[in-house]
Amino acid sequence: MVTRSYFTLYETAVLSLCGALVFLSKAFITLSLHLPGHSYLFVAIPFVVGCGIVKKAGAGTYMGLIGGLLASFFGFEALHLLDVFKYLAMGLTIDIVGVTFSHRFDHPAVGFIAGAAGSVVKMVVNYAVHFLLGVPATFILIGIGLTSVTHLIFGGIGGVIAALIIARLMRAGVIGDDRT
Amino acid sequence: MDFRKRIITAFALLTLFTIIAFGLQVYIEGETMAVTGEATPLPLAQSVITLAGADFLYGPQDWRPYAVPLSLNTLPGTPEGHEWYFCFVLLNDTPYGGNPALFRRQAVSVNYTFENLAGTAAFYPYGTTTLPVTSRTSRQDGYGSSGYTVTGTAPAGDAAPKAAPLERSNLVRVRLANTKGLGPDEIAAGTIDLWFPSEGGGQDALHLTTDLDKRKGEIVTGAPASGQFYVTHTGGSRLNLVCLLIAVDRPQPDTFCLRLETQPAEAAW
Repeated sequence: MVTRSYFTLYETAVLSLCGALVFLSKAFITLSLHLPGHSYLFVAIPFVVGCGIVKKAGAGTYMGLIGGLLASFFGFEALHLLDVFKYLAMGLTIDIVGVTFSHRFDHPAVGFIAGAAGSVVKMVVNYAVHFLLGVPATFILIGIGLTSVTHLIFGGIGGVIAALIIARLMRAGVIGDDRT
Repeated sequence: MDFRKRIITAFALLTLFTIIAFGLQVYIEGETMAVTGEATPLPLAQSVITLAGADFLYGPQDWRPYAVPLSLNTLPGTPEGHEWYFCFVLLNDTPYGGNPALFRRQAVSVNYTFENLAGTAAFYPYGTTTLPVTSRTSRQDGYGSSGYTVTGTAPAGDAAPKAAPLERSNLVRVRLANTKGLGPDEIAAGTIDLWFPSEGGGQDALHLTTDLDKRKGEIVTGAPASGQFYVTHTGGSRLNLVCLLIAVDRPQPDTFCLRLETQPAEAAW
């Protein structure tokens, strides 16, 4: 009896590549904006594009796991192995957005919601990990309002860019459209 | 629920999250002000700082705060194995070396005069940004390294009675030495937090130099007992506050005195 895996080989390859792009975009693409969360403008793109191509629940979580493990093993970020949690949380959130909106990631509004929600949830998980490691809560939470706005805006812009990419790929016939 | 309503609901939830986050921020800032009197330290109203031997509140130890402790014995002329006493003084201005379209570029000039200095004294800059609240300091070896040491000839004093070793952590709350003689409104509870989340970050933004053209700093050893140097900044993020760590490698005599006078200096770059 042959058991079929949840993701096909093609989907696994696409998601793994997008997961690696999540790590690369976080580690190697920098802007001199000096605003918290601005790097998620780039990180949100492969997350949303991967979920838009595969259109299955769990795609974002899988990419988060790949991106988080790569970030942990290469040690580019402060929390090392604990960095996995924030990437996982971001992927899980984009999965939830995908299921809620029937994986309509070609729609710019859905792209914005996915990128923004993923980015702010990642921020909350990051703060939670710092808090559990003993950083005083007041120290973390001073500035959380402004930080939330910047995470939301940059993550949202990344999501919109990803939605435009997916829509263009659909029009070109590279990605199948389930609605037709 | 149709597609449009789901989108409106999602945007409403994101907006609600942001409002709650702002509410939390305002609440936390209020709580902090209630405890300390002020949310963040303000620039000093006066620029002249006078320190005595008893103002060295930390030590003896051979490292200074960073993500991983930085040795105090790496600058040329600082003997290996020595343990140091040190204090933090808040400066009355902050240097800026980033985008000139955002803020005015400037350095901070520090005029110092030691009286009856025993052994070696070293200066290291520390600073803190606003968003996110992380700290900066100088690099002490390799490209962009800077440091400033002064050597005195006075006999060493008795052990510093107020000094105690600093907690070995990448997040430390340190007491400032220059709250003495200042009003309670000028520095919040006399402490600042230094946080270095990761090794390698926050170590190349602040520098010490005697020449403003050398904005990446320089290492100066054996400087005279009275002189001038500048604190420069080459990072992008604007600093909220800047302080100097002043270290001495032995207890100072009762007659020891250090007078610092700081003021903004126009940057040539």
